[in-house]
Amino acid sequence: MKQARLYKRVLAYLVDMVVINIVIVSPFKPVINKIISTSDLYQIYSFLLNNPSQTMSLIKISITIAILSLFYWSILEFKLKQTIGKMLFQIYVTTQNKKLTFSQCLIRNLTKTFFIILLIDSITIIGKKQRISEMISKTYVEE
Amino acid sequence: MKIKIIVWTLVILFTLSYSLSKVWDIKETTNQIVIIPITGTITTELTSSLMQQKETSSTAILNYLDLAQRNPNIKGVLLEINSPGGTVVASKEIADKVKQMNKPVVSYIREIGTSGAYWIASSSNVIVADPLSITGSIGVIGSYLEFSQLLEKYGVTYQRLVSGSYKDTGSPFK
Repeated sequence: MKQARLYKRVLAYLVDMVVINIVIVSPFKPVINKIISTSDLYQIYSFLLNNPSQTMSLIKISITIAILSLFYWSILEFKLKQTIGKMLFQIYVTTQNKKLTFSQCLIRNLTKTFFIILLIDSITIIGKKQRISEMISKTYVEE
Repeated sequence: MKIKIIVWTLVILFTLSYSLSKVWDIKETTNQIVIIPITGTITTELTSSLMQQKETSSTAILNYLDLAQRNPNIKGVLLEINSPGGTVVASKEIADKVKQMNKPVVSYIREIGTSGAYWIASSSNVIVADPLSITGSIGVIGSYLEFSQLLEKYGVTYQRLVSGSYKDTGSPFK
C-alpha cells in the first residue's frame, strides 16, 4: 500500500465539503442569511460590532458547524476508515497501531474545522505526504 | 453495512444541525433594537478595492431594514450615521425605505451627517446629534448677478434662442 496522492486527497476533501454543506451547513442558512445580507466584509464587521446579540448567534452557529463537521470526519473515519469523499477516490486512513482510535480521528481532523489552520497544517503534505496533525495522531492516508 | 453507517451518521448530523439551527435562531431574543451603521460615502454598490475609502452600500442597508421590518422581535432601528453623504439615488433609496418603516427609526449622527446622510436622518422619526456634530448641507442653492439694466444703458440687447421658457432661467442678461 502506498500513501495517497495529493490530488486524490484534495478532491476527497472537496467532496466532503459539499456533503457537509448540504447536511450540516444548509439547516443554518436561513439564520445566517438573516444576519449577513451583504458580501462586503467591512459592512458585515461593522454591523456585527454594533449588534452583539446577532454576533453571539453567529459565533454559536460557527462553533456548532465546526463541531458537527469534526464529528462527520471523525465518526466515519473511526467506523469505516473512510469518509464519503475518500470512498469515491478509494483512499483510506490507517495507523501505526493495530486499530484506529476515536481520539486519533479527532486529532487528525481538528484542523479541518478552520480552513486557515488546515492550510498551515498541510505545509508538510508535499514533502512527507502527511499533515502535521497526522504526524501527531500517527495516522496515514493510503490508497 | 457501510451504507447503513453512512446514512445513520448523515441523518443524525442533519437532525442535530436542524435542531440547533432552531435553538440559535435570532428569533430567540425579543425586544431587540437593530443598530445599522451608515459610514463613509453612500453608494448603491460598493467599489472593490483594498485601498478604498469607507463606503456604505444602499443595497445592504435596504436588506438590513427589510430584515428589521419583517422580524417581529425587532422593536426599532437605530441608524448610526457618520457619513458626509453620497450619491443621490443611493441616499434616496435609503431615505424612502426609512420613511416606509412601520417601526420607530432613530438616527444618531456622530462626527458628520451631511448631504445624503442628513437626508436619510431627516426621514427617521428622531434625530440625535452631538452639539459639535456636523449636520445639514442639504438642499439646493443658486445665485447669479443680474446685468440687464446695465446692458440696456449701453444699448446691448440679449437675444434668446431657447427651446423652452425656463432654459435660461439663471441668465444674468435678462
